Amino acid sequence: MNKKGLVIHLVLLGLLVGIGSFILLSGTLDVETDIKGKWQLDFLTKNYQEAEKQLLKNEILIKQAGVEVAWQLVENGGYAPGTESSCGKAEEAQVWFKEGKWCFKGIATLVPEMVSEKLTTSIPGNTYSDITFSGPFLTGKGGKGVISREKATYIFDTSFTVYLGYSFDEYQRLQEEGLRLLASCVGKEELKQCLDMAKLDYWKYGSCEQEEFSDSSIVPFCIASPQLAYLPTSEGQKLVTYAIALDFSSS
Amino acid sequence: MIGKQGILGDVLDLSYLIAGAIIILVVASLALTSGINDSNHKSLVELGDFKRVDSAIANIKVLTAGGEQIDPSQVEDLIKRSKVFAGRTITSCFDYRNEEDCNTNPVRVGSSKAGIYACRWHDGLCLAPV
Repeated sequence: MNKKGLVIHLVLLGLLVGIGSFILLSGTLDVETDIKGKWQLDFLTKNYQEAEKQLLKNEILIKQAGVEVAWQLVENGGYAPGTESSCGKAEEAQVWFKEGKWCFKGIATLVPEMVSEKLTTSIPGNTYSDITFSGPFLTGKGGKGVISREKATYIFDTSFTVYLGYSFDEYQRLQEEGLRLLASCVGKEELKQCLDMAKLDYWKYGSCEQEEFSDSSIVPFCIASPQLAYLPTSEGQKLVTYAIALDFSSS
Repeated sequence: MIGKQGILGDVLDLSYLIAGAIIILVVASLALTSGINDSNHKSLVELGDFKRVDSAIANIKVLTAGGEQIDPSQVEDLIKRSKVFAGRTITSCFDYRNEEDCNTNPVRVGSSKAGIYACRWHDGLCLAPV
């Protein structure tokens, strides 16, 4: 064998021995390669999806806050807990109208205030503004959420629209129905007869379970939700009922 | 002048060279192909998991919109326990679309009473037992 042949032999031998050693030492023939689109996948799972989870948790907390506010208002005749109508109360029902004066101010500003107050404690990291309601939806503007990790930052909007399954607009409807009732029956001597004719079926005297007409000019009512709205409680879903009172004396 | 022995030596050298090159190419090709296949497989697995989590989040949104009370602390656990079955991501009993799957509950979601997982079919919907 000439010198050139010897070199070729040795080089080939060396290569084969090298490959054999590599396989023996590493225990596999596989060449480790990084997964395709690793950065993109990491961004999706560790940034985007984390943000989606955070938004979902926030949505649940906002819905809880909305439902709590709805119950608090319902339980206190459309007034914030611990407050009372300027017309006073009649048999635990808030008086909305007395001696020619409409005392109920509505809940348009109350709901955003109460929801906002609850959100500052349940979602302390975020600040929300312009909280409003429209039909069964509660909406609000949130700040920017940021999820950062090495080489990737995801910025997302934390504004929300949450479906409550209950409309705060029911108060507006109750006010209109109450005003119609007052227009028909204020000052009437045969008050019960007038109310029986004018009131809607879901307006019950005194209690929703056992109707009882109190012989007084200030009549307490129990009103079942006009849209038959049910809201969750710790004991399951419960029909919303309002307790209010109206004064039918002629002022 | 090259003698017969010299020509034979050169032919042997050439065939040795070709055999060696083939071995090296086969080994390199196998190593690279399996590496790339492995990489593709891992990408698909991760992408599949991304899709599973994404669908689980959507399923939970549907649940809460339907009035189901879910605590935020349950979200991670619900996502983790979600599994893909027959092309659908199952997060709760509500995600089964036919009676047989609902009653057999192959993914074992739903309430657990004494270790028994069950869903029940009622009025065209799969519900968790009360």
